[in-house]
Parts: sequence; structure tokens; C-alpha cells
Amino acid sequence: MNNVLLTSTALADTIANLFRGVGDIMRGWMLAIPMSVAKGVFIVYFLILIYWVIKLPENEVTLALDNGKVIHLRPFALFSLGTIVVIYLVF
Amino acid sequence: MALGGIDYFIIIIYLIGTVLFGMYIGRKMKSGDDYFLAGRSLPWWAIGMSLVVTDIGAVDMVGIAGAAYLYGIVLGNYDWLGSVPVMIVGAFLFIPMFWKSKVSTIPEWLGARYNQSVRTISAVIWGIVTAFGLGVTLYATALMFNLLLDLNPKVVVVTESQPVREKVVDATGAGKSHDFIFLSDYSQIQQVIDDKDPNLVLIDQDWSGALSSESAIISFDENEITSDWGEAMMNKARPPTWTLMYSIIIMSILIGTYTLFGGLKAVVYTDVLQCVVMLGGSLFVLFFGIYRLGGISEFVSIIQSLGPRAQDHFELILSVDTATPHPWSGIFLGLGLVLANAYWFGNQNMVQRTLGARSEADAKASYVFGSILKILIPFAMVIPGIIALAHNPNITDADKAMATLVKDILPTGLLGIFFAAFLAGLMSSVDSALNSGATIWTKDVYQKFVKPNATPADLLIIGRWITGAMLAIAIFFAQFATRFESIYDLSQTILSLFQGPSLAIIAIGMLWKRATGKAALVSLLSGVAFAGMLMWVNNNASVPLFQVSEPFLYVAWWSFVLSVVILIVVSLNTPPEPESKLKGLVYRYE
Repeated sequence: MNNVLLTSTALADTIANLFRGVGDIMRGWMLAIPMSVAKGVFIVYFLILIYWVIKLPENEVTLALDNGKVIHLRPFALFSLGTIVVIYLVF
Repeated sequence: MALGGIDYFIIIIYLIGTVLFGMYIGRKMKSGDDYFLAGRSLPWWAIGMSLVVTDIGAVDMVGIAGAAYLYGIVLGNYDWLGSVPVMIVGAFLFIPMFWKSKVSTIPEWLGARYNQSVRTISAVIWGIVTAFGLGVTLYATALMFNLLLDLNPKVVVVTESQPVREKVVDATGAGKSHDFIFLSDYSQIQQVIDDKDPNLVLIDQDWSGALSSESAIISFDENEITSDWGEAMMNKARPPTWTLMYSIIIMSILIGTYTLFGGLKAVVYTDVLQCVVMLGGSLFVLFFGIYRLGGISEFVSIIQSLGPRAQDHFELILSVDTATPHPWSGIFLGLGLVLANAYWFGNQNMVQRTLGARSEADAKASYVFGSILKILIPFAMVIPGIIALAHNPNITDADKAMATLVKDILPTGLLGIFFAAFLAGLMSSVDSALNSGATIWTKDVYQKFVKPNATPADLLIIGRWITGAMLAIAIFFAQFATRFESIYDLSQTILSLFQGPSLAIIAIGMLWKRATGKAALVSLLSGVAFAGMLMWVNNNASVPLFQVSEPFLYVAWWSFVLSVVILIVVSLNTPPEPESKLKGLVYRYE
């Protein structure tokens, strides 16, 4: 049983070492990113989605419900994303 | 404040009312489509509310507030990043594609887009994960049920030392199954025994005196606290009169009754009721909790006065080397780009109710409406966890933070309403998992392999049988979960192994018409294998591969990346799918 455990640890260590070098380099890059820039990454992601929603064709965001009423979804989607941007700017 | 008669009355009326309401809603069920997709009749507002309340399961209700108690507002990312933007993308891109293809399950869509091998493998994995996960959810639900209604057996520990208290809880291993009551003032012991009727009383050695109790009263020395000692102490405790299994069976009967009779329609409309009660109750605790602290500025200054343990409690984005499991890199890549997407448009549990929408507009609008409601969830779940810290920084089990807070601040009557709200959230996650699991087993396994020419009435009957069978299996798994608490981690790990590769084949398949069936099969299998290998290496290497305590965010990210690369490379080296097959299944390719 002990031999099996030792072998599996050795195998796991060998595989881990293959990834660890690359992983440590990437972790170093991430650590070097200032927190203000990290926050910017989140906000830019939301802004890209806002731009995408604005650019969606009208027929994909304005639809008729089964009861005949027309529903305009773009303003609600923009409200949702806009609120999130404000939250990430505050906290 | 303890629960009073009026609180128990409100809770019982709520539970019975929910079951009767669900059965009434589902009384005209005639076919499999009625049962699994509510006859494609659901309006956007009902689906939107159902989505939100389904997402807040028993584990989340306990875990989110508990984690916020420990780590702060960073938990808000799981809704503000992990739900809101993804639901907007889903509303305009993925959900209408699923709805227009008229499928009942995601594996069925994968079968139409790729091939039957991808469908079958995907269905079997989801079917097993759902059945297994349902057991764990049921266990967590019963755990919370016991906690809320104060049904857990109690252990009183009398010592002034905080480290000794923690050692006793660790040594007994009974932190989840028993409520620990800590006393430092010896004069209160008899009063607590009379009020709480504990099953065991442990008193540090310095004390001697006479006590009247039916429970075992044992003196101990700090130096003798080991796991063997803890086990011996628990063996001496009076056996509990109410066990977790009773709660598991009660919850199963309540939830199973309306889900079995009413199918998806009952699930969604009971969820609407549960959403109103849950959001209303949780937001009331938010405002009342802050009011009791003296206002927002008092609340903030109390948290800041707690020093290093709470210095990041109002930071949404934490450094890569944070001591918490929530570094911004893992949150953004693993949660924001992979797990959130996999959950909101790759998980049958969530997608199924939009497939039952009465129109494409309703399907889209439900996700947009849900995203707006989701903005509120951190205010209802995360901030109250931080308020609990401000009210009481000495709670030993963070999972009990929310329950402790509401018991401390709410008066009788309101306590009953709030606990009904909590139970609402618990029930909604179990009923949805039950219904979606039964749908996959019926449509993708039974109808495909056992009886391809089954009539709609056959599917209704078999769907109900499978729902009942899944509930029985869930109760069976839940029993194991009571013995091995790490079974929850296992179920989460299994889910995270599958979600990255699953998202890759759904998203690329929907956005890129060149993606082929053979490539999807290779991508799915190799992605799951790679994720499994990463987890195994991380758990078995001398030094863990990942430098965070719970690496599932990174595992999901890297398995997704590998699956995407394999899907693209293999697709470019295999013959393209026929154009006629892809129409309506690829974005803007009608």
C-alpha cells in the first residue's frame, strides 16, 4: 500500500513539475498587475458587453410576446449592465 | 430570540400551502411535454423569478452568508460577475437558439448539432451528476432545516479559552450535526441546561459543583483533547431524539409531492412564490440588521475596527496572493469566463425552464429580468453575512452566521416569516434538480434507447416514475453525505470537471459552423480527462499544483482552454458537417 502511495506521489510530482514552471511564470505576471488595472479588466469586460448590446440588431432586442404586446429588452439589459459597472466602481 | 408558537405556525402553513399550490398548478397534466416543459406555456416573469430562486440553493444560503462572514463582499462576484453579465449574453445569444430548436434537454441539442455519441455521453454524465448532486443538496437542505428550526442536539462547553473551544469542536467532529453552546460564566450552566436540554455538557477541570441534568456532564483537561477523546465524549452524549434523516425524509415528501404531480409548471410557479418570500425576507434582514447597528456608517466602522481579519471585507477584487479562495484572476477567468457561462447556458437545471417558455420573446425576457433580480442577491445574502460579523464576531461555525443573526435581531412572528423564506430557497433548488434530472433520464436515455416510439402519455407516466426513483436515490446518497461531509466537495469537484469542456462544445458549436461532431467528442472526453488529471495531481503531489485552497476555478479555466483548442484543431482536420444539418443550430445561420 505504501509503495502505491509513493508511486502515485512521484507520478503526481513529475506531472506537477511539467506545469509548475509555466504556472509560476503566469502567476508572476498576474501578481505584477496592479489592483487598479485588475479592477479595470472587470469594468472593460462589462463595457464590451454594453457595446455589444447597443450594437445588436433591432429585431433581436424588440420582440412580440404571445399576448401581442411588444417588449423592448435593450433598455433593461443596459440598466442591468450599467448597475454592475457602478457597483464595481464603488467597491 | 427563540422560535415561538406563531413562528412554527407560519412555517407549517407555508410548507403545506406550497405543496397544495404546486399540486393545484399541475392538476391538468396530460403529456410528457406538459410535465417536462410545462406545455411550453411559461411567461417571462415566472421563469425569471424561478431562475433566481433556483440558483440560491441550500448550500448557497448557508455558504454565501458564512463565506461573507469570513471573507466579505468578494462573494458578491458570484452574482454580479457570475450571473448578471452572463445572463445578458444568454438572453440574446444562447437561450433563443435552444428555444428555437424545440429540444427538451441540452444533450438533445448536442445530438442535433454534433452526433448521438456526444448526446449520450453528455446525458449520462449529467444524469449521474444530477442524481448524485440531488442527494447532497437534500442533505444540505435538511442540515439547514435542522439549524433553522433549532432541531439539532446540543453540546454545552464551559471554558473561558477560545482556542480550547475550537479544539473541542474539531476533536468531536460534531460541528455540523450538533449545536455548540459556549459558556465562560459558570453561574449560567444550570440555567442553560434547563433552557436548552443539552445532550452533553463538557466543563473544564477547574470547576466543581452540583448540576441537575439528564445529560452526561463530564469534566475535561485541555491536554487530553484528541480526536479519540472527542469520539469517546460523543459516545457518552445522550442520543438525539431528532436526527438529520427525519428532516431529509420530511423535505423529500414535501418537495417530491408537488414535483411528482405538477412537473416543471409546479416547480416554476412555486418558485415564484418562493422568490417573493425569500427576497422580501432577506432584504428585510438587511435593512433591519443595519438599523440595529445604528446605520451604515456605524456598520462600516464596526467592521473596520475588527482589524486584519476584516480589512478586505469591503473589497470586491482581491489580490492574486490573497489568503482567501477568491483571487481576482481565478474569479475573472474561472468564474466569469467559464463556470458562470457553463452554469447559465450549459446546465439543464437552469436552461430547462426557458425551453418551456411560451415564446422566444418570453425566453429572452426571462433572462434579462433574472439579471435585474440577480443584482439584488448580494444585498440579500452577502451583506447580511458581513452584518452578522458586526453583530457577533465570535461565531465559531461561519455557516451558522445568517441563522444566528436572524435569531438575534428579529422578533417572534417575523422570525417565522424569515425562516419560511429560507425554506423557500432550499426547496426550490431541490425541486428543480429533481425535475431536470428526470427529464434527462426520460428523454435522452429512456426514449432514445428503451422506447423510441413512446407516446406523450407514456412519457408522462415514466417521467413520474423516474422522478420518484431519483428521489429514492437522492435519499440513499443523502445518507452517505451524513457520514462523509467531504462528499459535497466531491460532487462540486465532479461538476467542475465537466463544466469547462461542456461549455466549450456548446459555445463553439453554436458560434462556429465548422465545429464537427468527431471533434466535439474528442474535445469533451479529453477536456474531462485533463480536468481530472489536474485535480488528481493537485491532491497527490508533494506540493499542490495550485496555490489556492480550492482550485476548481483554475481547473475549469484550463480544461475549457484545452477543450477549445482541441475542438478547433480536430475540426479543421475532419470533414465539415453538412450545411443542411447546421441551419437553426448555429448563431445567425438560418
